[in-house]
Amino acid sequence: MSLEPQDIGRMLDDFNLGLVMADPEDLIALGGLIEKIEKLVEVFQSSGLVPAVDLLFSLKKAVESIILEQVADKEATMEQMGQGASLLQDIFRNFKAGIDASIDVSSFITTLKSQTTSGPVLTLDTSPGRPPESVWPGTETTPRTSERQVVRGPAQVNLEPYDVGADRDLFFSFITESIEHIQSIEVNSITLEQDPQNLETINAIFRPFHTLKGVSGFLNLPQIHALTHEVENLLDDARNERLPVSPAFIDAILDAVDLLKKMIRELKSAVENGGQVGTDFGLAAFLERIKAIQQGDVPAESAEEPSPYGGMKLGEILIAQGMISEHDLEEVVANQQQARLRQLGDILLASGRISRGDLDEALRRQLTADDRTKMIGEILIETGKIQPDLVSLAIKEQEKLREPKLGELLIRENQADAREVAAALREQKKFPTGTGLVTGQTVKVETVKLDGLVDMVGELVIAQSLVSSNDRIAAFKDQKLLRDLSHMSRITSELQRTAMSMRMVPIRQTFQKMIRLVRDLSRKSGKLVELDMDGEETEIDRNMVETIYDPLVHMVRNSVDHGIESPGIREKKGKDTTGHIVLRAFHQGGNVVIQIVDDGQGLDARRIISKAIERGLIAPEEHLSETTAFNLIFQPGFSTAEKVTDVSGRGVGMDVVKKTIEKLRGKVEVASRPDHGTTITIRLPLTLAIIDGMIVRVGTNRYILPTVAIRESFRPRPQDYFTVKGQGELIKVRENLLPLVRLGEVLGSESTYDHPTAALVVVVENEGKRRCLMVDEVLGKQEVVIKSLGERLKHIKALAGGSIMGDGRVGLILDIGGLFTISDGVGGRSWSRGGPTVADDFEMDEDWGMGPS
Amino acid sequence: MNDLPTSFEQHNVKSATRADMVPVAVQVKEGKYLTFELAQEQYGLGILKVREIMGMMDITHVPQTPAFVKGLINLRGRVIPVVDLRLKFGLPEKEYTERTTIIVVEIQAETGLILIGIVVDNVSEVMHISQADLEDTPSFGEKLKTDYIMGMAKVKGRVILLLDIDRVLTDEELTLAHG
Repeated sequence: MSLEPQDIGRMLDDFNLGLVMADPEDLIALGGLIEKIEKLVEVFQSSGLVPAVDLLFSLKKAVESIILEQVADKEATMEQMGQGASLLQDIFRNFKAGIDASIDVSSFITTLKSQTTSGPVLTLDTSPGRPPESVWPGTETTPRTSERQVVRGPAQVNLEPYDVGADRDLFFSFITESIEHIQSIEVNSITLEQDPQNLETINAIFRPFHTLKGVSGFLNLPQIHALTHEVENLLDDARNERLPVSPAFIDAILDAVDLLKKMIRELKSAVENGGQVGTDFGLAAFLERIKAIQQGDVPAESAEEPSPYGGMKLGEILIAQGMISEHDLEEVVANQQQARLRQLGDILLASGRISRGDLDEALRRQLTADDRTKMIGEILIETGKIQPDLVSLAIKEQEKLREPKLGELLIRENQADAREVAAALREQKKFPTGTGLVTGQTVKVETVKLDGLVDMVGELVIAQSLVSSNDRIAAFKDQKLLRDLSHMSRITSELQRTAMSMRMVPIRQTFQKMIRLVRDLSRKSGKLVELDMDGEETEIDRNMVETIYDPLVHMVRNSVDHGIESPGIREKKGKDTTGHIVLRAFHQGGNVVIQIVDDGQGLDARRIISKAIERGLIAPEEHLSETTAFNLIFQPGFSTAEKVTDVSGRGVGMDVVKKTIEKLRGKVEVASRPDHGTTITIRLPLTLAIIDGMIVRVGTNRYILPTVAIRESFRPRPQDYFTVKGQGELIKVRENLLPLVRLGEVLGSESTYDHPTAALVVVVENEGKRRCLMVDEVLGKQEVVIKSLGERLKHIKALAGGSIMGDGRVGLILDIGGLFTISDGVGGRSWSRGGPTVADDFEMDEDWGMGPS
Repeated sequence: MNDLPTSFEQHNVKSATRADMVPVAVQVKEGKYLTFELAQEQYGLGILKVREIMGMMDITHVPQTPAFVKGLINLRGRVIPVVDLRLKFGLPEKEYTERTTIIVVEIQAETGLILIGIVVDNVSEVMHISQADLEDTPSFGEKLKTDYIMGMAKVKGRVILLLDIDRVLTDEELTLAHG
């Protein structure tokens, strides 16, 4: 960041003013101060004013200590900080005047330190071997290290259970916010794993942690605060290239996210049910682990080394595609690493701090055995060629310059041509790099308001049509009126479309949650799995998103667990050792289609059939087509898994998947080819708010039947009508006898006709069972907006909801499953209220009384 | 105030803890009431409960509900149930006329506020009932349930039964219990 001196001056003034005005109890003002300090740090770092930077860090620390109530006398500390601020201005004035800027700041820092450590509340780490002094190092140590140790404090401060009842609204919005942040962190973590060098991504992870830290501090949530603070430090180290982004590093972040989730959940239940949060989350142990990573105790794999699970690295893709040889890659990667070292020398050389000869000598020394592990800067300092200050400046400068990318090097060294690299990069891009960083501009609106708007718009459309179809108005022969009316109807329908679209959200977030899942699963199972996504921008009903999540998790789990083979087996089969799972979403004919495609071993129809026979799901002599056999996996109590692993076989079967999807009025199908993989296709209606309905009349009442359940409709001939014991009625539909349900009888409305041969029957299907519904008339097909019948009436089995019809009256949407249940009850069986609307006790199937002939 | 029966004061105290829905009469307050007629009897309804008054409209019959549930109406895009108060109170059914009115009330259910329409013979007026006009509900013994009535008022020589409308519409499921 290069700023004009007067800009820096203004920032300093601004900071001073903020400091003078700030009330030590005003957390928001203090937060503002920290922000200002951070901005100044950036400025001074780029100007190379090391003492100023150190001074700023100590000021920041002091502010943080005030916020955390770790100082004895806040006012005095603020006063001290004021002195620090004027010291800062001195440094800057000297710098501007070109005088040597090295004003001694260490004495001030020590004084300020004494302010903060003397606080009674503070319980700093005073473990043996780490005397308190080391907590506040002098100017020579990097300021970050000091911060890291100080914040070990909060973890060890005895975490008093805190009362969350006080400010519910604040907590609720914090919880909502946290969940969003956590999602973005997860997505970006995976992105980071693909591209560990990407500062942008690290920043994208850093920011939400930073926000959470701030807010949790403000809300006095010490555990969340301590956790986020620690992780933030870890990320900061990575950002400044003090730490490599290793798989262990990513794991730590993801684990932190898990821990955070747990805390948020706990907090949520505490806020909802009133109560306190005080449970130990194993936080201390986790913080230890983070510390270990920071100190490099964990054998961190080199970031450049191809990760065993990634398969996503540019070099690997290029090798896999046969563009370059492995040898080439190694050479270039080695060069890539060296490039960084050379760069530091280059920077120093360019700034004229060292001579070419000095640099060459240092580089030579680095190649000798003793000094191999040392950085070029260290060697230069050791040999007395340069001041440590200058090296740290150069390193800071170096941070801004990014390492040359692998692709660039490959091209430069003629190992691969640009087109190939670009193609490979595109491959790499297919993974969510980028998409994770994009966030659309949004406004949060309460669901109730949104639903209210949709209701009112629906009403507007009806009112509009009532007006235009009014006889009196239709009698007007006024061209202008007609034009205006049609203009109005265009506007209302546009308005309706917009209102409806507000209920829709892209499926992206749901898909992105799978990235994490696949990563964890593949690690656990030792399989190599790559997840691709397609059509994440496809929009689905907001209310569907949550419901679809669990089935999706289950199916992805199945794919990894039972679909994708282990790398060894895949190799034997001549397949790519890395398995692929594709999540795809698209719109098709008024449906949202979601597909889960894997290139695993596929379903074994024979094994499924033998299993089904074993379970008594089908008769041994039954001959099933392959498709029918595959669909057996959706039967309750069916699992082809030979071993129950940690990840699947935990009870939720494909039958639950199917049920959940049917509840959304959707369908699920499976297709598979041995050794080519399995494709599961889910079809969902575009929205839950609208149902495609067939309007039927019984007597004076109109009812809406969901079109999805309707098979056909006809007027039965007398020879198709049978009775059983004079009571049960059957209709012969082609070769099958289906029970007849008199809709009027079930719903208590007077039917116009009393014999089905005079009326009409509609064949409906629910959960594989078919019945004939006797109705007076079929009035037509219409898309209707579903309205809830409210708390009091929702238990009525026969009804799925209500809807406002074109004439403004309420129409009833029938629930086919419920109708079946009731008709069983009418037939003499008892039925219970409030149970699931599933005709589970009904054994009659469509072949009842007469098999297919 | 002094001539109020003591039992009423007890009710006042108890009603403070009404949240748990114990069958205790609600405190009768002086204030504005909407009065309406039902089979020649005058009833009153706290004005704050009333959301809307409208004429008879098309009601969609709902199966599997008690007879007093007339069905559903469309209240500007919202589907709300309508209850015939005559049938609910066991009064003889009467053909709906021009004067028949639906009063939309907002009642407090466990799940929050809900809107329900009640059908009455005709709406009379909104009147102020002062504390002095109020009287406690007399007990009619076992044969007559007076739970719904939180008090009576004597105004201009007429007796107005003040309804606890929340209780009228929440004590029973609106669906029929089969089985």
